[in-house]
Amino acid sequence: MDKTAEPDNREPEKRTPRWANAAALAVLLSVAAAALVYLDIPYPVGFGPRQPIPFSHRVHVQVKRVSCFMCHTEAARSSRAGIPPLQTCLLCHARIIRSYPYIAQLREQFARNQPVVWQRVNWLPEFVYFNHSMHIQRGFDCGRCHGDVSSMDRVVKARKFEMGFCIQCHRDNKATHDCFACHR
Amino acid sequence: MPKMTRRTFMWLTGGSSIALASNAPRKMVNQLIPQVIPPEDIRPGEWELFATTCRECPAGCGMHLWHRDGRVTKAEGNPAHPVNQGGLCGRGQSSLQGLYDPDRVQKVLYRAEGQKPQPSSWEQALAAIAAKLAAGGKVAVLSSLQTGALAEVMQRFAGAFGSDRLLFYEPFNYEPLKAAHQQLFNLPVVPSYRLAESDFILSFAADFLETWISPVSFAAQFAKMHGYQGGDRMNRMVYVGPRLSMTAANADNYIQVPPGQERVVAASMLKIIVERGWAKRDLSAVSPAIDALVAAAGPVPGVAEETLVRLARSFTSARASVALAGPMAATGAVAADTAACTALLNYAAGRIGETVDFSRPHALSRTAREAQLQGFFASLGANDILFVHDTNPSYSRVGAAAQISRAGTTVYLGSMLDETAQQAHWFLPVDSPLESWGDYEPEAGLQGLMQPTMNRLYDSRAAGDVFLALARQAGRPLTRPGLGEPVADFAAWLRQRWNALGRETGAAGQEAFWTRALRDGGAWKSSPAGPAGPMNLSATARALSFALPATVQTAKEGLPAKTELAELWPWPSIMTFDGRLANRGWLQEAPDPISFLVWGNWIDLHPSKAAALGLEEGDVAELWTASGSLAAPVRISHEVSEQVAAVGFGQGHQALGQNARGIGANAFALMGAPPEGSMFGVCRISRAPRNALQTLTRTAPSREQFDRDIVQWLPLSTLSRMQPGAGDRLTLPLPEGYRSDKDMYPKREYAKHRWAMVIDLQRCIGCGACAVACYAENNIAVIGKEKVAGGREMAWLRVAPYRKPGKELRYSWLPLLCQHCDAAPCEPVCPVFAAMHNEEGLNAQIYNRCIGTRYCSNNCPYKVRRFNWVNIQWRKPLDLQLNPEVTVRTRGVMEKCTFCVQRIRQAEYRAVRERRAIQDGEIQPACAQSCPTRAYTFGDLLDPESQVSKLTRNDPRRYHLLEELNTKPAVTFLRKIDIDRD
Repeated sequence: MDKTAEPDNREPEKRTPRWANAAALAVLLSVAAAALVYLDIPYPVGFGPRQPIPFSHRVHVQVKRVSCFMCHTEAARSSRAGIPPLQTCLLCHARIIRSYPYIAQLREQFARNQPVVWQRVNWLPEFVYFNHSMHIQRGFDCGRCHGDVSSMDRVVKARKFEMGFCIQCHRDNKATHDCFACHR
Repeated sequence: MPKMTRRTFMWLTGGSSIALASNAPRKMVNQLIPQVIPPEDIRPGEWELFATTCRECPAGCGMHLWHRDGRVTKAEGNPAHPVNQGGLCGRGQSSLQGLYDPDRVQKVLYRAEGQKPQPSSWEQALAAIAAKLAAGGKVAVLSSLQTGALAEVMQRFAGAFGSDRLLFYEPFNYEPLKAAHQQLFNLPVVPSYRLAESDFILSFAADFLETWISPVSFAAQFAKMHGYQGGDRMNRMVYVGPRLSMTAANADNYIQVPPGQERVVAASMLKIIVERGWAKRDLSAVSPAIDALVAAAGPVPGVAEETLVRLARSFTSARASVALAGPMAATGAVAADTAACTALLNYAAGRIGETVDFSRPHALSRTAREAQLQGFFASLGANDILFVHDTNPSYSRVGAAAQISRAGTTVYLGSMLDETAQQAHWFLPVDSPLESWGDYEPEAGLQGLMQPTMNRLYDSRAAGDVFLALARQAGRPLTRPGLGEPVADFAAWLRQRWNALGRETGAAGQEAFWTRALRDGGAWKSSPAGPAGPMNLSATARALSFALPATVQTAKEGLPAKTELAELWPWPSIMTFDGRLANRGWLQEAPDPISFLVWGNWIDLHPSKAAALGLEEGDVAELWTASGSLAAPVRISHEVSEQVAAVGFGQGHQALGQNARGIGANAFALMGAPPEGSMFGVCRISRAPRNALQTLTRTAPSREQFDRDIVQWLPLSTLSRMQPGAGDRLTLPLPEGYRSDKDMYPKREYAKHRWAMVIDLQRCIGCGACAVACYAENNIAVIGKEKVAGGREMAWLRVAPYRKPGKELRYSWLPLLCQHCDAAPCEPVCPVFAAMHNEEGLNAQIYNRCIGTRYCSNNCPYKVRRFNWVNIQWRKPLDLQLNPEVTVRTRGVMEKCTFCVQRIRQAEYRAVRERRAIQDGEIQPACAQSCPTRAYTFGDLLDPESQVSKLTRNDPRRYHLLEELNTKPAVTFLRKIDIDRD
C-alpha cells in the first residue's frame, strides 16, 4: 500500500487529502467485506463446517453438564459413536425452549419425519476400521481424539486422523500394532 | 499462455487465496443423516439378524439375513432350523443377488400385441385386468410351488372367479415318485427321508446332495451318517447311475450302469431278496412283475451277479437302510419303474415308516402332475386370463410358449423379465422373497415364516396383495376361510393364518407365538413325532407292471445301434438348478463340483463315443431330439457311461438378464413327451463349428495329483487301529514348531490367540457353498467368463476335485483357502510389507500398502492369492450387497483369505465389552458357517481345550498340505477314509 502510494508523494497535487483516499478505500473494503459476510460467502478454515442447526456443544456439555453418552449412546458399545436421532433432541426440547427459532425448526422437521442433514466433521478413509467402543472401554476420554469439544460452539476437527497420530498413541499406550486392527 | 505481467500475477494469487480461504476442503462423503425416530433394535453401523425362509428352491431352508443400515448383505443358514441346521447352499445365499439383481424389473410393464413392453402403472394395470375379470374373463393361475397364505389367496382368487385351474408348476415335479407311491401305497406323495438315522444309503441316480428334494438337509444328514465317529464300522452310500455326479462321487461305491438300467439293478436286487428269503415284508403281490422285468432286461452290463447279491444283502441286513430314486428331470415310465422298484426295496427291507416317512409328505407332493399340466396348457384359450407367478414354463417346458400365447391375456407376476414374462401382456413386478411377508411349509408340520428383511427397492408389491387388489376391484373381495370380513392386505391374511396356527398348537398367546415365530423363522415342534410305522402295499400294487425295454437287444448290448445316437441324460446343475438362478454372477462363476467348469454348460461324452464320432474335448456338438436341439462344447470323460450324452440344466436363456443371456444351452429344449422304454430318450449327435462363445472355461486345469499327495486317504482298517494322537507328527504353527536347525526365520510368539482351522475331508461333499459364502462375505468380484478363461478368477476359496490315484472314478474335494502359514513364503518377499504376519497368526494382506508386485503370489505354494487386474464396477444396485466391514479392493492390489478377520474382530470386541474370554466356536468364518456338512472347525490353537487344538494335535487322520515345505500351515486337513473291508 505504501509503495503504490509513492508516486503521489513525489508529485504532490493538492486535490484530495491522503486520509480521504485511505478512508474511502477503508469504507469500500469494509462494505465489500460486509457484503461477503452478509451473503455468507467467505468461510475460513478452522471454524468447522457450518451446520443446518447451530447446535452448540459448549452450551450442552459445559453449561448444562450433559454427558457425551447422553446423545452419542452407541460410543461405548459400537464401532461408531452415532449421531443422535432427532428423537433424542426432543427428549428435552419437547419441553425446554420450545420457541427458539432453530428448535422450532427442529420440532417441525421432527413432526414432518424429516431428518436433519449434518455436515461431517471427522473423517476416516474407508479402508480404516476404527472402533469407538474399544477405546472407551480402555478409558480414553473422547477429547483425546476429538479435542475440547465441550468448549466448541461449532464442532471443529481437532486434528487430522492420519496413521501417524493413531500409531503414536498406540505406541505410547503399548497397544496393538497389528495391521489387521484397523485395515482389513 | 500470455505473458505473465505483475498485474496478472497479483490477480491469480489474490483470487486463489480467496478461493482457498472461503471454500474449506470437501470430502467424498460429508453428510451425516441420522434417523428421526430409530426403529427398535436397529442401530446405525451395527448388524441385525432377520430370520426368514429361503424360497430359491422348494426345499424351504431357514435363513438368517444380516441387515445393516437399511440393507441386507449376507444370507446364512439358520442354525436352529430343522431343515438345513445352519448350512446354506450357494443357491440360497445367492438370494441376495436376486434381490439386488440389476436386471430386475422396476416398473409395471404393458405389452400390446406384437409390440415391445412399455412402462405403465399399477393403477392402470389393476384397473385393466380387473375390468377383464369383471367382464367374465376366465381365470387360470400357474405359480411356482407355494403353500400357506399365498396358496390360500390363490385358491380363493381362482375360486372367486369360478375357476379350478390353479397349478403349482415346478420343472422338476417328482412325477415318478408320486406315480410309484400312488400305485404301491395309494399315496401320490413325496415322502420325507431320514438319512441321518440310516446306515446304508442306496441311491438310484438320485443326486440328493445337490438338487434332489432338499439337498442341504440331506447333506447335513449325510455328514452325520457318513462322517467318521470312531471304531471300525462306517456307514455306506452306494450310487447306481450312468453319470458320476457330485453325489455319486461321494459314494463309497459307485456302480456305473447305462441309463434306464437303474431299475433293472433294483429289480434284480428285489428278485434276489425274494429268492433268498431276506424280505421282511411280503412281496408276492409284485414278484411276477419283477421277474418279468428281470427276465426281459437280462443282466445289467458291467454289474456282476455277486455285486447285486452283496448289495441286496447289505441293504436288507443294515440296521436302517434307505433307497432313493432319481433322476430328477425324468417323468416317463422307466423313471416311474425305478421309483417303484426303489419303493419296493424300502418296503422289502421294512423301511417304510422308518427311514421313509409317508406321514410327513414334502411340499413337493403338491406340485402339478404331468397329466394336470398337459390339461392346463391345452385348455388355454382366447377368453382366458392367465396369471403366471414366479415360474418360467416358456423356458422349462417344450411347447408351453406356444400354448401360453393362445391365452387372451397373460399376466406375469415376478421380478425378472424371463422368457415367459416377455410373452406376457402385463408384467407386474412383485417383491423379492427377502422383501415380503410370506410362509412356506416344506414338510407337514414344519411352518417356515418369511418376513421383510429390508424395505422395498422398487415400486413392487407382494404377489398376494396383487391378487387381493384385483379381486376387490373386480367386485369379489376375498375372505379367509372361516372369516366373514374381507382381508385388507396380504400381511393381514398371513397374520390371520398364523393366529389360527397358534391356536392349533395351543401356544400361550397369539402375540407370543407370533414374536417367537418371527425370531425363529417359523414354528415347528422341537422334537418331531416319530415315524408313523409300517404300511402295507395297497390293492393296486398287484396290478404293477413294468414298461419293458423297447428292444432287448439294445439293452443287452448297451450301445444304441448307430454311432451318432446316444441316450440323453440331462441333469440339474447344483448351481443353476432349473435355470431360474442363471442370472446370478456368483452361481455362474462358481465351478461345477466335478468338472470345475464355470459360466455355461457342456455335453459329457465317453471317450469311446467321442472317438467314434471324431469329437475332441472342446469341440462343439449338437444334440437333436424330436423336441429340439442344442449346441454345447464337448467334455470327454469316463464319468459317463458309454452310450450317454449328458448335459446340465439351467443355462441357455434367451432372456432373464445380462449374465444369463446367451450363456450355455437350454437342455429343457430336448425334453419332449416321456419316451417309451427309455429314461430320457435317444438323441442324435452331430458336429457343429467351434466358436468363441461355446468354450469350456475351467478354474482348475487338472484334477490329477501328480504324486504330490494333495488329498490323502486313509484305509479304515488302519485308522480303526490307531490311538488318539497317533499319526503324522505335524510341525505346528506355534513356537513349539520352531527348530533352529530347520527354520530360516525367527520364532513367532503369540500373546493371545493363534487362529487355526481343521477341515474334515471325509465330511466335505464338494458342494461349493463355502466358496459362494466367501464371495458374499468378502466383496469378491465376479469377473465374467472371458477373464476367468484368462486365469483371472478371484475366488479366495476353491473346492477343487482331485482324483484318487489309481482309481478312475473316485474323487475327493480339497477346500483350499489361505493356509495362514507360520513361516509364510509370501511375507518375506513383499518389498513394502503389505503381506504381514499378524499378532494372532493371521497372514494379513494390507491393501492400502500393496503396490502390486505380485511377488507374494509367485512365492505362495498353495496358490491362494488373487490379483486385481481390473477395476470392477459393481452394477447398481449390486453394490448394496457389499459388506461394509470389508474393504473393496481396486486394480493393482493383491487380495486373499483373511479367515474372515472382520468376524474375528467382532467377536473379540464383543468379548471385551462383555468382559469375558472368547468362547470356542464363537467365531465362525463365512465358509464354516455356510457349510451344510460342518466340514470346517475354526478356533484358537493357544487354547488347549478348543476343538481345533484337539483335532490338530490328536486326530489320527490329520495332515498338513505340502508339509515338506515347512510352511507350518494353520489349516489342518483330516484324511478321507477309504472303506477297504466289509
